Amino acid sequence: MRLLVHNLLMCNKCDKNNYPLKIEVNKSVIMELEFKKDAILKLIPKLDFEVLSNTVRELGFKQFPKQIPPNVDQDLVFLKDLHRVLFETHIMDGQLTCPNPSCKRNYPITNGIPNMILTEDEQ
Amino acid sequence: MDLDIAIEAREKVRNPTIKLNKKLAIAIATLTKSEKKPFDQLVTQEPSNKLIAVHFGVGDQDDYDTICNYVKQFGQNKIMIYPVRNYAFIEFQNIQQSLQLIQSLQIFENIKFANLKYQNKERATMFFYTNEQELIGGGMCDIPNAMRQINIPGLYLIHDFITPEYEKYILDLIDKQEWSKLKQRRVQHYGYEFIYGDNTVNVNQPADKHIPAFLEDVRAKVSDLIKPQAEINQLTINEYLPGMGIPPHFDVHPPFHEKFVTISLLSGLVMSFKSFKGEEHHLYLPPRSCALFTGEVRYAWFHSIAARKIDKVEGETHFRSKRLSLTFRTIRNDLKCDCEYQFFCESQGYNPLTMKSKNPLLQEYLAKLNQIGIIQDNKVVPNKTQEEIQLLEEQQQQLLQIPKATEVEKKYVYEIYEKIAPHFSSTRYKPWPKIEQFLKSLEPGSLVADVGCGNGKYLGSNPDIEIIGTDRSENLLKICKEKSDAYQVFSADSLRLPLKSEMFDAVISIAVIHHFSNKILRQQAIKELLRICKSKGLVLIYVWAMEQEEKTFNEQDVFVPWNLQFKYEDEKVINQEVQQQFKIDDQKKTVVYKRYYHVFKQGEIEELLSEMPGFKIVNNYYDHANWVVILQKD
Repeated sequence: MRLLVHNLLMCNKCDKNNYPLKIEVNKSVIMELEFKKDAILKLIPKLDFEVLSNTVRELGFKQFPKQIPPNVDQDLVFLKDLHRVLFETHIMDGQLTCPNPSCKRNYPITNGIPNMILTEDEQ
Repeated sequence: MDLDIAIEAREKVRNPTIKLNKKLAIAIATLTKSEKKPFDQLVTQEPSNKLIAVHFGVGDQDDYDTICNYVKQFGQNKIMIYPVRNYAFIEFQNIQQSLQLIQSLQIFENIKFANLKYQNKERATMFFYTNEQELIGGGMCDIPNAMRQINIPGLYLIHDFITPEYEKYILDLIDKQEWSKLKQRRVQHYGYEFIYGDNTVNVNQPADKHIPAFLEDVRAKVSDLIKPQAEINQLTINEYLPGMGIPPHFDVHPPFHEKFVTISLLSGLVMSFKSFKGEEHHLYLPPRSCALFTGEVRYAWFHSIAARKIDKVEGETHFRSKRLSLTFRTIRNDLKCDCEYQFFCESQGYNPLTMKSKNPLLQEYLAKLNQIGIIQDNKVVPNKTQEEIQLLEEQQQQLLQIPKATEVEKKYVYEIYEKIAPHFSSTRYKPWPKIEQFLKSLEPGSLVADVGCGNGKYLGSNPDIEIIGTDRSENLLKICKEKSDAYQVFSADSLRLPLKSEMFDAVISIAVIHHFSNKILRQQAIKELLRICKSKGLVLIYVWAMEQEEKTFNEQDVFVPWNLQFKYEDEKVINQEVQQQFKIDDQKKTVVYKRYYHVFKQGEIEELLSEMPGFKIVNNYYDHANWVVILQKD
């Protein structure tokens, strides 16, 4: 799972305060991918950048900007960081947790695949 | 002169050459039509271990035994009988065995046949070598596939309602009673005489015959079941021989109370149900079971028994034999029914004579249902406490808000894909060009969801866009990841996607919606696709078409077999060490799993969508035996 997917996922067991899910990482890997400036620029406005930034910094990349920098299309350093964060970092093992204190449902990530299926009585 | 013609005609009948040639012509015509293949391609002159037998019995269990016993003497074999078309496919272990069979046949003008006794009558059964691996067995598909379990509001099926010993005991006694003969079948009435034509009873005139004392135990048990309704006081016993049926009807409202039951004795058979909204179901009633009719199914569904000798039950052929049904009812003397299905209720304005073909009450009712948007009308029946009513209403509300997968999806879709994933994936590697074209036409940087991505064959279709896949089957998702580490997938229920709303530029749903067994679920799945899609974004939907060359469907709700090769199967299953519901085919080395599909008629997906808001259909077409729509969200 990449952080792009995390940016879209929510908990379905509850319907309030169910986004963003907390991440716990046991194993992550970097897989290099060709950098495509145009594609990443087009993708930026589709993200919840605040959520992405908070997650990245919580996971240890403290210098990652809190906001999209001005003149982002010129800021190659940032775009490459973003490329690494969004496209090249894969969380292989860990878990996602619903942020709602009265829910806290855990969703395991195994072999890079989050399991978001609820059990019969959770639906 | 006339006499000459008559004599000539009689000669023709007597002449065995003509008779056999005629049978051969019928056999050729039947096989060609049912197998959709020319006869000379179906059969071969070269000896083969496989044979086609064309037999001319009536195709019941006895005839089945006759041909099986005959063939068995030549060696171990696998035989598949296609009852409706009266032919069989036989596979011997080796050619010597089939050769022996062919050599033992009588030959008359090159026609090879055996005279076998069906129903005490000798008939010629012809045999041909074939190289086919299996036959289609056309004709069986004309028979609707019945389920052992279905969900119809108000209908309950209780298995083993009476014991085999009690069944035997009452059968002997029932047979000793006096039968009345109808045109189609024999009946016995107790309590009140039934008036056919009007399908009612004379409530003022109890029949002389009371429900017999030997049936008191079962009467009491039924009375218990229908409480608080007044005790059972009327019984009809029907005898159904193979081939007999009863046309679609519902029990008239006023002379009977709401609840009634029908108990099957001796043989099981399939009962068909059709709702006032047009919905159809087929349910197998096993011997000694009790079907309890209440509420909607009792008041507003037609039930019928097709006049057939054979039923199809979850894909398997089921031969009918003699069946008795005991129908227990309670007569209501006031003749006033206060059900909520006025449109079929004679005490509330329904007139079967003038309203049979056009029923304004029904139209009004359906219009009202559409207006309030409740498709499943399940108002609470009286005699419940206030809390119970509230609880039920809440559940109903919940059901309308979050439709859940039924047993059909669980047993015949989710579990099956989990099971067949690697084999399935090995046959689904080639992307369909029109879908790839759609994905390639999207702007670079687009965010796309593939809901029901299966083995991920579209996840790599366009490297300039981000495609995220989701599926219910974890085994299929593992295959996606094996194909490419870069593929982004997660497992989820497509009726409730764990995705934020309005995020995706495009959403695709390829061969998914047809796996849901009712309209509410199909619409729910589409609602979810639209929810996650952005304003002006596109949703591409593929559903399997009923109208297609590859397969012929005679009904829309079908179970399609998947022959899972042994190499993909758990050894414990093959060796039958674990209990399992699916058939093991030792010869073909496969386990036959079945997947549920609702195949869509032309225009059906558009109709389904017409009841939903928030988008317009920008394109629709037919591709690879699928009906396709492209929606643009408002």
